[in-house]
This record gives sequence, structure tokens and C-alpha cells, in this order.
Amino acid sequence: MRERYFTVGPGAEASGDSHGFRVGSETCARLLPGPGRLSSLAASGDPAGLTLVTPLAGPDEVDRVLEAISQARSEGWGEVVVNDWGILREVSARPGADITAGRLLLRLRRGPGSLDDWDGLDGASRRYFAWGPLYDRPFLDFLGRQGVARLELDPPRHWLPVPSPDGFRLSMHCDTRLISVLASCPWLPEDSEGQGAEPRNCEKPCTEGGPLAMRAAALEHPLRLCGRAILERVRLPVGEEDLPDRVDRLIYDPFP
Amino acid sequence: MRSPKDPFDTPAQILAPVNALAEVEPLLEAGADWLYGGCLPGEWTERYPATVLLNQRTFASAQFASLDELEAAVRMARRSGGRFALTLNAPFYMDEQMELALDMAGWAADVGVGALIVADPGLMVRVREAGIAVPMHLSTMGLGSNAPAVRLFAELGVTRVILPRFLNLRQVAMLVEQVPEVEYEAFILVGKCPNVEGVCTFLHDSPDLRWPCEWDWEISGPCGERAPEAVTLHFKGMRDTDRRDACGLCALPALLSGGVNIFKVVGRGAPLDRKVLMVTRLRRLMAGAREGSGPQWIQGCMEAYRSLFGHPCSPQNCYYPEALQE
Repeated sequence: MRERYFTVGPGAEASGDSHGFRVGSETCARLLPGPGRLSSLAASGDPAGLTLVTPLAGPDEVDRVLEAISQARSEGWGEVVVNDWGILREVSARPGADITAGRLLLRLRRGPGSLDDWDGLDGASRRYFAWGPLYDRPFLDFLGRQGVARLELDPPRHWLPVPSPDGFRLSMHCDTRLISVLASCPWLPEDSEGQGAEPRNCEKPCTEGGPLAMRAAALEHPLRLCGRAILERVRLPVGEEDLPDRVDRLIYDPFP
Repeated sequence: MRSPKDPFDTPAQILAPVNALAEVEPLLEAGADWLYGGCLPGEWTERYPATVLLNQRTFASAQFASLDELEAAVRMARRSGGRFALTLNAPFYMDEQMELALDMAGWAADVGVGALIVADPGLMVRVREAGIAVPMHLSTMGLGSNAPAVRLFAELGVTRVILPRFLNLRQVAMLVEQVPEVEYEAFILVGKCPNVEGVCTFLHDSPDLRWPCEWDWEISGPCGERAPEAVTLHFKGMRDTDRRDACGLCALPALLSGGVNIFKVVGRGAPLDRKVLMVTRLRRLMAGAREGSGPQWIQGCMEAYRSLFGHPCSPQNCYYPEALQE
């Protein structure tokens, strides 16, 4: 039976019928849980079922991300998801929780843009848009040498069977497709007290009220803006029985 | 890898985009030190659509028409004292594509290309394993956005980092100070990206060259209510601004003093006269940038901007808005 991991929002409890819980952010260091939150989550259940999701990091954010990882590891968390090359380098140099390459490191090609001519694409191009980086063996070997044992995927716009790259377990996001990341935070003003402010002082306005809808004439369904992350709400288009065994973990990111 | 040194002891350099042999001499004469560009070989275009990336450009006018023309451009640049950087900066190459990318890297070494602009760690590993002796510059697609990331890529053979556009001046200075062993290159004119380009999956394939990030996005709350004003203004700013008219001229003094002395003009596929104008103006401003500061410098940059783009600058197409506040 596949494991099911649920993403837990800021302040929410990690409880319920699940194999594990995920906290943190793929895109913003300001949304990482603080030391108190990390400890209380670890104390509330089996820390081995906890995943710390870590974001892209600017030069002034690396220490904060590494501090959170260090604490999580010391408190027995089971998994760290890494979405930044520098964080990967630092984490791989130290023993601890399992290292997973997040969606931002894999850089799956998800659109939108015109992928309408799917029928006109040959097999190679289809593989490229569905699971391209999973066919880049030198890249995967590089990740393996950095200690990465698991890769996080999300459903492509047009489904193809998931490949099973040697040496890696696979997690599949079942609710969201990661589309892009805004270069700056739209909730913060473009001044030294906003974008450049100390992350610990951020009041996290992006987490209040749920994700925003991004509508465009060219799209049938809106994208979702969650902080700096642009996501697309999706459903896994195939049954679990159609996933390879190597996809042994399903991730749910329920929107409020 | 170079050794740490005072940024002021190295002349500032300009990289200019190029996509045709006829552009080489005018751009070098205008003041470019480096040219950068790429080409899609026939065996690539016969196999893949434009959105399957060899070098991050999805429209033919941004590419050299043939490898022969590209080789002639590389040789001409070298004869004229310039250098050429070849774009092989797709975020990944599938195994069946890797051999072609590697062949191009080897070809680049043979014809005298000065550097490969790369983003796929897999390609970096293969280039080194193959003994291809061409310096590698980390594309902004590679996301060398913090010190350990730069060290990681330096360990793979990268000697220069093209700074991600989302870093502000303070972060750039911090990064350069933390890892002074590599060179740093900053975007300075044209082509601001509203998203983190190294992870963005928006496909750039519209015939009108208007990408999804430039669409007229309507932002609302989860139940259709009004979005927070700051967010609405953010997207309105993106919609009402041509991201191609981007500029960081005011920040030249801060970048130079922070240790960045290589500046990139964006615009493969732009008309030659526009490219030449950009390089000429940039070269002229750089002559006084080391001493530039205060309102007079800013005023001069704003006038230069207006002459280049035909309208006043705005925060939305400013690479480093904090330069104005400083």
C-alpha cells in the first residue's frame, strides 16, 4: 500500500489518518516553521513521519533554511525535501533524514503555453514534456551522488506512464502541479522593509484567506497563487494501480 | 578559477546577444566584449518542436541559421578581439539529446568558443568527463542563487555565474563576497522576468511572442472576492509594463563596487540597430559608472533609458529598484 502524506498549513495540527505530514514551503523561506513549531510537531506524534519541505534560498536565507533542517534532523524527522542547489550541497554533506529532490530541482516542464498539439508530437517530445528530467541519467546520477534517494513528481498536462529511474523512490503530488514561482513576493512592498525585510518578521499575509485565483482568457481553469508559488489544481488522471511500484508515496496538498 | 581580487582591477565587460554573422562586427565596434548566442542544428529541429529546448530560445529569429554561420561568427569575433559564449542552457537534456548537446560542446571547443552557458548539472558532468576544455558559465536557468549553490557548480567546473534576476543588490554583494573565486555576470538591459526563470515552466511558444507571464491575468480571492490590493497592483504592474524594456543602469555603480563587472544585454532575435544602440549607450555609461553616484548619476541613467526605450522607466521594469532608494 502506498504511503499518503498530507501537507499541513501554518498553525494547523498534524493529525489524522495519514502515514506522514509535510510542513514548510517549496518557494519561500519566510514560510518555514520556526523552532517552536518544529519541536511541537515532532512532539505531537512520530517524528519519523514528518517531512520538512524547504524552499529556494537567497544568499541571506541559507542559514535560516539550514537551521530548520538541522533542528528537524536532530528531532528525528524522516525526510527533508530540498528545492535549492545550495541547500542540497550543504544537506548532503551531513548525515540525517532522507533527502528528497523537490519539484523545483527536477524542473519538469508543465506549461501553460501551447501544448495543444500533443497529437502532433512524436514519442521523444512527449516523454520530454511528461517526465523529461527522469530521462537525464547524468543529472540523476549527480543527484544520487548528492545523497538524493527520492524524487517528487507532479502530473504532466498529458499523461504518460511514469518511468522508474534506478536508484530512486518516487513521490507523486496528487492535488497540484507546480507551474512557476514569482520572482518577488506580491504581498510585500518593493522597499527595504518589504522584500528585503528579515524573514522572521514576515507576518505571512499570503497564508490568510486561501490561494488566489489567476484567470486568463487562454485558460479553461484558473491557476492558483499561493504565496510566490503558481500552482495548478489537478487530479491524478490514472488510478493507483496504473502507477509503478516505485511511486510509493502520494502527496496531498489540499487547498483550504 | 580566478583568485579573489579587487573588482576594480578588472575592466568591466559587456555581453551582447547575437544571432547572425553580420551582427558580429557592429556589436564589437559598439563596445561589446563578449557575444552570446546559439543555434539549433538540423537534426534537432527535424526531431523536436521549438518548445523542446536546446538553448532556451523558442523562436527561429533568436538563433543562428546554421552551425557554419555560427562558426564564422565565433572566428570573426576572435579575430576582432572579442569572445563568444555558446548557449547550451536548457534545464535538462534527455539521454537521447545529451549526445547532441555534448557534440555541440566539443564542436564549440574546436572552433574557439570562449565559454559554454549551461544549466543542466548532467551536461556539466558530461562536459568535464569528456575533457572538453571550454569554460562553463552558469546560466541564470541554473540558479546559482546562494553561496553553497555557487560552490556546488564551481565544483562541477563553472567559472562564471550569471546572477539570477531575482537577487537584489544586497544579496548580490553578499554572494560575491562569500564566493569571490568565480566571476559574476548581471543582467543590465532588456528582458526582465517576473518569475524565477530557473524553475518557471511557462512555455514560450506563442506566435506573437507574448508569453504566459505577460498574459492579462485577473486575480481574485478563492471565492471570487477582490484580491489584496498589493497583489492586484503587482500583476497590474506586470501587465502594463513591457518586460522587454527592462533596465538596471542606475545600479551599475553598486554592482561594480559589489564585485560584479560583467554586464549582459538581453535580446537574441532583436533588430541589430537596437542591440547596437543598447551596447553603445551601456559602454558610454560604464565609462563613468565607477565614480557614479547621487541624483546626477540617476538622472543621467533615466535620460539614457528614455532615449533607449522611448518612455520613462518604472519600478516594474527596473532590475534593481533599490538602487533608487539608496
